[in-house]
Amino acid sequence: MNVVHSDVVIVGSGFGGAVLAARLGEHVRDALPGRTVLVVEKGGDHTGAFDPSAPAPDHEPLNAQGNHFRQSLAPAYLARVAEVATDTAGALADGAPTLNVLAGVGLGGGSNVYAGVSLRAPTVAFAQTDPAGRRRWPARYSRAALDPLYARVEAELRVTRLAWTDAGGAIPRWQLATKRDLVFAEGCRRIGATAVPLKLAAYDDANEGWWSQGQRFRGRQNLTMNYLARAKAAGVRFQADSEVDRVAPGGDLGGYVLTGTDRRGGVERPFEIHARVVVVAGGAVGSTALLLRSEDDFTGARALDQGRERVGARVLGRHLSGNGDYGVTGVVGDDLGLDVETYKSKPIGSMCPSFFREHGFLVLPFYAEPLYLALGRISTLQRPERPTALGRWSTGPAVGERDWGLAYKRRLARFGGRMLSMGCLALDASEGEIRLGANDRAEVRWPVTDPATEARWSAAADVMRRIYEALGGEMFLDGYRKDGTVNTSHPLGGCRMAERPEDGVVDPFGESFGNKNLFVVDGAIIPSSLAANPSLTVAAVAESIADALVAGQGTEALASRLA
Amino acid sequence: MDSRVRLSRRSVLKLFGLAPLVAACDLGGASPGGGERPDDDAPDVIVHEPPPVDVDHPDNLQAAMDLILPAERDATGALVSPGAVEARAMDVLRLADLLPLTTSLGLLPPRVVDALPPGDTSLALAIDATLNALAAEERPFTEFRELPRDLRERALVRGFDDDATEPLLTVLRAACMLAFLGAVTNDVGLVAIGFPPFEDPAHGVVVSGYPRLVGAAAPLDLATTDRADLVAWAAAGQLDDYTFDRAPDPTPGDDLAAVLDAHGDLL
Ligand SMILES: Cc1cc2nc3c(=O)[nH]c(=O)nc-3n(C[C@H](O)[C@H](O)[C@H](O)COP(=O)(O)OP(=O)(O)OC[C@H]3O[C@@H](n4cnc5c(N)ncnc54)[C@H](O)[C@@H]3O)c2cc1C
Repeated sequence: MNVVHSDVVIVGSGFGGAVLAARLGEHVRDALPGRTVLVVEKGGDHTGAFDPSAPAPDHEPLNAQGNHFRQSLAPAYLARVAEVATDTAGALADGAPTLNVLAGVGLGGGSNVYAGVSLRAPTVAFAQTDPAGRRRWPARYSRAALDPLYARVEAELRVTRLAWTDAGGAIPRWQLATKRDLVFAEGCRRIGATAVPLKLAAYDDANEGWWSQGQRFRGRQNLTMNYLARAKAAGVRFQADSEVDRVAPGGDLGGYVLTGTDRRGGVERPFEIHARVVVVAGGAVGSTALLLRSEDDFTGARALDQGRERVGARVLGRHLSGNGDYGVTGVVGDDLGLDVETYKSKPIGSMCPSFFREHGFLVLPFYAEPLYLALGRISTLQRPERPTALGRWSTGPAVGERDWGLAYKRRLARFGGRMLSMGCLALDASEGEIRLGANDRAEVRWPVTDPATEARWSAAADVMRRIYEALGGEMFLDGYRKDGTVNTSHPLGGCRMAERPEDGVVDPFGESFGNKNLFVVDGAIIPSSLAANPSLTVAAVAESIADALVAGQGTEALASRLA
Repeated sequence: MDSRVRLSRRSVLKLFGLAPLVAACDLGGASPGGGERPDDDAPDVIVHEPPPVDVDHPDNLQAAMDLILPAERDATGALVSPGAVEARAMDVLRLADLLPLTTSLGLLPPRVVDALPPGDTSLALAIDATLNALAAEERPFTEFRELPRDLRERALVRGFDDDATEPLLTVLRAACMLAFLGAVTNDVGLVAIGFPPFEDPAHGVVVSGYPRLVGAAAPLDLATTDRADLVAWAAAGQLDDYTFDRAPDPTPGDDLAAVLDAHGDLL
């Protein structure tokens, strides 16, 4: 058994964990000499593992961007940087939708796979109320309150806004929207809406394709390039390939003891970490699952779920938002004469906000992986209503047809460079749940879709269908309508923060209601959908909590907690 | 289905040390219609096109891969359109991370992974055994790759339709799809079905931000190209880069001032 001691332990290194690691690390270095901060991360340290300029004997010569990346999927990489949580119990059996949640894994968390879209959440997101009419967000959070922190995160992540043109050479070419975005913009225009370039945490190689499937580090701002680098420079220690299984009160430092498995070097070894202050930052699913696994060690006034303890209504594992994610795929017509760059260039470069005020959703075009054509078993592609559109057919097998074989291969051939995916991000009602399944594996559920969410998704699907049709094409994949599948890459909640213990797992500073010095700071505490990509908000909330801990404003200062 | 043949499939699985799979197969139950299924209950093979010209396959796995995403050949046997084998699905099947990878990509439902033989059993070996067992139902004591194409296809259809064998065959399908559409080792699959090839400046295949002249082989060197030329080429429609100096036309009547701030964030 490997036993480690650290004053502060941060579990997970995504947008919540990385910000805390940097800010608390720097504070400890500057003001609390002798104290230590340790980051424990389940996934690997991929830094430099895929150096794009390193000699790669199996690859072709350097491409236009001066690296070896060839738009191919890098399986060894992808298998290590992404994971999916799903509903293996098959909620479909009782007619409920099935939820799939995709997340990043490894030092940098979601930044290993994300598309870099960096939007501030709209004012209305913070004003949402729960069914009892109470504001979902604690009073200290609002768009106005977070604006200075958003600005700080944007500076750290070097967020820039893309542009349609290079303004006479003033804007670097990697900062331009893509062909796909222009196709989308034309579709929006034809239905009376407008597309605008997005804000992106990009880097100088941002035109690389397939970011989420092997993009090396030059395209996007991976957290290892900014916050985590800052933490490292401040002396924070990192332990990758180490999964925390449980956290329990006690241990040598009078705080908590974390147990788990260290998989470094491919060998499994149990570990024990003793800490005074613990920050759980494993992401919405990861953090919630960790607390669920640890629940039995916290009882009575220390119960992790004070909702269940006090009023018999569970809060831990509840209130999971998918951020209203709803994706579709389709094809566009030939009349524009534009190659959509289906799977090339930046994954997302524009959005259409025209429907936000009325309906509470954004529409974004995103890269369509050719692989979407093969997802026959989970998100079955739907045979379109107008199968002859563009002379192309759906890949979805009709009853009695197969999703393999020569006829299937020939159906695939009808899509080519005209494939375009779109998705909406919407205000949903946090309908999802997280619980433990077999082997304590995290399972997610979407028991029922709230009528308000349903109405937004319907309106969004209608808008997306109209865009395809305005472009002479057709929408053919709608996993929700066809199979009842809710897919999200933006899980929020599960350990929501609240003003009162019976409403949430943590207080407005991310601290467990019954457990001093046990924090959750990541997407899990976000108490509502945002209708904007969440990384910036997760990081801004983390900045806010870090500020409070450093200054001792509104909550006890870290210095006194470690005294 | 002949019970002797059925037994033979089970014993093949056992032979390869896959007793747990046999148990899983039994749990997963049963073919529709109970334990014994007459041959004429087998699903019809739906032939949409004349089958491709066949070739000998070196092993059962490649013989099955060539059914899942077939290569197409002319009458002389020359390759016209590559399939899963040419996309190197064999390499993909042997990836150490195949299961987590295909699961996270949505190619494999977790229920399939749960139904697979536990431990370190080689997937390739298990699939090979399954294919031979299916082949034996068509022609006893015949390897899958030795069957004529139509019988191989019928065996595979039967295998996908049987809860006991479907999980392993779904893994095989996932490996084929991943190789062919995920372009793990090459882009032959993508190109075969009309997607643009990998970026290849030498042949003029580039993405936004790297303009070239329509029909030209390589992107322009922006460091040495005169901007006035670029503007003129773009205006004349001769520039194959839609992002060069091209913004979408404004949308009449759609005023975003109430929704967006100056930085491009929602208000
Ligand atoms: C494909 C994809 C694309 C996305 N694109 C965008 C985008 O363009 N813009 C945007 O804003 N958002 C995007 N997101 C969402 C964004 O990545 C998340 O909102 C963000 O990463 C959440 O941050 P977090 O700190 O909550 O968790 P994460 O970033 O998920 O980090 C959690 C970390 O904790 C680790 N961990 C979990 N459990 C344990 C444990 N028990 N022990 C040790 N370590 C553990 C995980 O391995 C992970 O590294 C995308 C997500 C995906 C999957």
